[in-house]
Amino acid sequence: MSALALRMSAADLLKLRKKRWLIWLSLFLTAGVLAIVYLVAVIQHASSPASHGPAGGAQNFRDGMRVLALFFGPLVAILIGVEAGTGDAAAGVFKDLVVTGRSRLALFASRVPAAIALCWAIVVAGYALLLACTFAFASGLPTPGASLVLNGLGFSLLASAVLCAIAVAFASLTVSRPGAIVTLIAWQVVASPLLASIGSLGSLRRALLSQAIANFSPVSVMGGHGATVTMSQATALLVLAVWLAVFLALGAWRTHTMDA
Amino acid sequence: MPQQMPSEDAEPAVETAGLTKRFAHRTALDGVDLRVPQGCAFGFLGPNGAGKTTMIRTLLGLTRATSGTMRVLGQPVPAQRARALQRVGAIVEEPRFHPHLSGRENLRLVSAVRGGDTAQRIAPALARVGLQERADEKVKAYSMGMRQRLGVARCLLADPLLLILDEPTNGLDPAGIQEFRAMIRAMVEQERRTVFLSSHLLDEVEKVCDYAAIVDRGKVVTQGPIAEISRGGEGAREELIVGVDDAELALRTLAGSELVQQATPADDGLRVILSGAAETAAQVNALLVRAGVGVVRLEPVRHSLEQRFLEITTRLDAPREQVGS
Repeated sequence: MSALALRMSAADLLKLRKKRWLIWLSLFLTAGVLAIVYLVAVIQHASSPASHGPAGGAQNFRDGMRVLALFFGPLVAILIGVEAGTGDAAAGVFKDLVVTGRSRLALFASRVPAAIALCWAIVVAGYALLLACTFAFASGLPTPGASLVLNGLGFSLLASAVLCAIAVAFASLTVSRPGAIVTLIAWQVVASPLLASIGSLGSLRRALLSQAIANFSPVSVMGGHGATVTMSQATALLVLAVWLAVFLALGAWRTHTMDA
Repeated sequence: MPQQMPSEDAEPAVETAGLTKRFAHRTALDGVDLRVPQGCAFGFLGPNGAGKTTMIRTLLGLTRATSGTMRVLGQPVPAQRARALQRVGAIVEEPRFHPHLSGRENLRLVSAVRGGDTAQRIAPALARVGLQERADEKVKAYSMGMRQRLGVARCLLADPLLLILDEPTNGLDPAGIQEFRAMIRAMVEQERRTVFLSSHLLDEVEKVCDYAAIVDRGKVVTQGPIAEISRGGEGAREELIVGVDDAELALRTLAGSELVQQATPADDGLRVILSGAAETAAQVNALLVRAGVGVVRLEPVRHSLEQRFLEITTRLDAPREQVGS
């Protein structure tokens, strides 16, 4: 990455991190939700230890991982990615960036690392809270090993980065903040699980982004009860690469060709 | 009127030939040939919907031209757009910023995109427009006038040879307008920058600009020094008001002279149109005095840009719906 590209991404990161509502909402959806889940579990355990086990430990860590990496993490990635993709156009400053003479592709490209950087910071904060609660409230239960902890972190970062990049690209394509948020959340949270559960679609379901991402999860998706599509890691990687390539190309094309 | 007449032989700051922009069935720019000399304030004057903003957006690469060629600071656009715009600052329509960031942060964003040593120009640019005291306040708290000044500061990051300002005094109060005009003149006269200013305000163009082009329905109808446009174009004949003690004798004398194309009585004296650009008021005076007419007043008629503008922009009778900005 050149010095100019770094400076441009740092500028894009500045735009994002100064949006307080975005930061607070993202923190709430990751660390906030986990804090609430653990608080409830701690209170339940304290009030009735016989019927409610300790809040921490390996099993609760896995549950927390699913909440963070497969649900709220993607939501945060979508929110941040869409904001990065539409922020300049929404504020009316895209034309002011274009008249600098800088290539529109460079303007588009700088958004992606900025959005991912912020997304990762939020996800890491959530993951740190998850780990802290896992060990602090274990009360003698087995705790996750280093391998699971590291794999979990890697998976959370991978899932959020892929979704965030696609959100940036999709938002740049549609140039509509509400439209992009609603479409992406509806696809990721409603349509994708629905399609994945339709057995008659067979191996076509491998093309689903959520299924390819879930393939890298160190904990079983849907608590081990849900239907997930099995595929090799190479296939999953290929699916991710195709999704990224297609959406990034579309986002770049739209940024390059649209009237500013 | 300002006095800034750069050499027309120098490479123009902006030059277009046959520039056309069509939107579906609407022609916004219709074969525009424009030449903006360097080192002057150039007014791009036209009624609302004449194509002024479209022209600016096309020059800056915000929208693509349908046909024609453009050169900005000597560089062909869009082929060498990046190089051409390196030393161009522009405010298109109203100046917009990220409202949740401070003025200084907004300039940092543009500086990061422009690259080079533009970061070092942030503080001087803020000082130049008088915003250094409030540079760390969020832009959402700025008045329209402050946003306009911040827009100019953003332009100055490029150390521009050419500033393109689209209706820059829209929304400013009278004091702000005065201040803005003074800033534009200073940029031209002291800093040797070229300012291309689009406006539908005749008064503004007349007070600020040295050159102008009048655009109507997507066509440049006339262009050149403002005094020349007001007079009716290059080679236009001068008109005089002549006060005399014997109007009949004066009319007879002038009617027989080759110096005069037309002489008619008027409330304030005789209205005399000279027969060519070379003829002068002094020659008319001498002629009348030799004929025994007492001349008590001899005054060139001052043509206003407004008069000329209205003549030009109302004589075209094509349907207005076909063109717009």
